[in-house]
Formats: sequence, C-alpha cells, structure tokens
Amino acid sequence: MNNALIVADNNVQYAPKEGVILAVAAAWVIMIGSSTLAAIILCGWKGAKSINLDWKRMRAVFVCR
Amino acid sequence: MSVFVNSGGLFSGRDIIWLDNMLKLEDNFLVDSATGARHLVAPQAVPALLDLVRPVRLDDWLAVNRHITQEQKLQLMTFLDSIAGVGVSRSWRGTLEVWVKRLIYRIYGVPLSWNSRRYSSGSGVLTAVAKAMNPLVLLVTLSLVGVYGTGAFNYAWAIGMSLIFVTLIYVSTVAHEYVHWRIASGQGAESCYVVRGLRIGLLHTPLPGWADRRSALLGPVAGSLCVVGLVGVLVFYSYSVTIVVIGATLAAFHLLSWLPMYGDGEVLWNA
Repeated sequence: MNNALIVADNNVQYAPKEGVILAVAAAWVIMIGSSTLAAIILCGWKGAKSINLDWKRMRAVFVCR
Repeated sequence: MSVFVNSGGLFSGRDIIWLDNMLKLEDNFLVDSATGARHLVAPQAVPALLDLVRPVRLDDWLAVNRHITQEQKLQLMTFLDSIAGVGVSRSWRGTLEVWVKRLIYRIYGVPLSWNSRRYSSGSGVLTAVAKAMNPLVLLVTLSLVGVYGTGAFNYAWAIGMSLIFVTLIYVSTVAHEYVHWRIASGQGAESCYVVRGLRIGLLHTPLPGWADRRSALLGPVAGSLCVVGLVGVLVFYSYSVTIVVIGATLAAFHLLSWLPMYGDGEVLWNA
C-alpha cells in the first residue's frame, strides 16, 4: 500500500473478518443458471421436458419434448 | 486519460466521490478511526485529500491543479480504495455503464477490481448486506429467466424457491456479521462493515487474541444456525426436499469462511 504520496501504517492489519457466503452462493447460482442455459441451447425455448443433475457422477441429463 | 482503465475498473469519471468520515487528516497523517491506523501523507497530497472532505465529481477533482498529476491523484484513490476509505455514488445510468465496461474488459481478459465501501457498524449491517447482495439478486433473476425458458419447471415453484434462497442468505449473513460486531463492540473496539463486490466483512481496531478467535469461530456458526433454524420452521409447515437441500448447502457455505484464505479462517489458522 506504499506509494510516493502516502505511506501506509504497517502496524495495522486491513484484513476484515470476512464471510464468503455470498461469493459461494453466487457460484452456485451460476452453476444452476448455466444448466438452464444449456437446456435452452439443446432443446430450444421452452423445449425441455426435464433436467436431471446427477451430483454424484457430475452429469446432467436433458430430456427434450 | 481513461479513469476507468487507469484505476483498474474501480472508478469512472462521472462518479461522485468523498473521503469516508472515519478518515480524518491530522497534520500530515491520515487517521483511520476504524483501525487506529495513521498513514503518513506527503505534504503536496494534503490539499487534494482536503478537497475530498466534501463529495465531488471525480473528473472535477482530477481537473483541479493541486501540484500533483492526475496519475498521482488516481494512485491516491487506489490507495484509499484499498483501505475502503472512499465513498462512491453512481447514478443508475453510470452503474449500468460501468457494468457493461467491466463485462467488455473481462472478455478481453483485463483484470479488474471491485471498489470497496464502508458502512457503519451495528444496524449498518442491514444496508451493507443488502448492498453486497445486489449482484447475487441479479444472478438469481437471470437464472429465473433461464428456468422459465427451459419450460421444464413450474415457474411459481421456481420463484418461491428463489425468494426463500435469497431471504435465507440475507438473514443468515446479517446474523453472521452481527455476531462479529457484538464481540468486537463488547471489547470496546471501533468498527465498520466493508463491502467489496460480493465480499462483506467487519473491520475493527485490534482485539485480544481470545476475542478475535471467538469472533472468527462464532460468526460462521451463527450464520449456519440461523439457516438451520429458519429451514426448520419452513419444513415444519411445509416439507420440501428442495428447501432442505438449499438450507444444508447454505449452512455449509457459512462454514467455508473458516478456510485459511478468508478473514475468519486466517484468524483461526494463525492462532
């Protein structure tokens, strides 16, 4: 945090007690959201009959109408 | 000079900026009451910092000749952002512009930072968590459009589950951060919440080691227990496997804060 105009006080830690919940939740939503996007790409708009996410085998099955 | 590019995506020229009211200039020191830090300021930078005591448009602040260059002023801004010391206000149009620019630069692989913002401790947690959740709410809304587009789900069900998901995250994150604040304020510490993108945390003056560890341990526990309690109530009235899965996942997500790369975990692992 040093530069020519300001010298940071190195005696102080600027590490807040930080929760990670929102970042991880966002990653989860992106994962779910991308599955729906994949279903739209594969089956067309409102063309999917079912989407099964197999978490154990890390596999997704898209059944189109 | 492009303010957006030169500040690494932190600011745009039309932003209204100001020095956070927890930072005060005393002689040649920038004193931070939230941490007790005293940063040494070069004499030629003092007038430029004094100009930030009142809100000012970033372009106007850069244009005023204060014996330091615009690049140096942006360096000052970058430093202030690194300690969450600068307030930023943007219009909706400005926010949209910045988001589009961020997306374009990201596609080109340019690394960008999120700017940080302080919120008062105590009841300020309600605003801080709401602010930090903005991108998440946007993502949930976009996902709902995707869910509708598949045609494979009951849309009312998807909206209901999304509302439960967002509410559980909001309430449990408030509980998580509130516990950090209660423990810090119990030791007489000054504090504030810091939001940087999706990350939210409590910045405070130093605590005794045992209080620091207690706070790092109990914050995530409070978040998890809050989720478990709320899901318990929901399931009592209407059992749903999806709600149980959402609850279990969120409870586990809170405990991820104990990983050594995050603030809570850092305290515990370095104990």
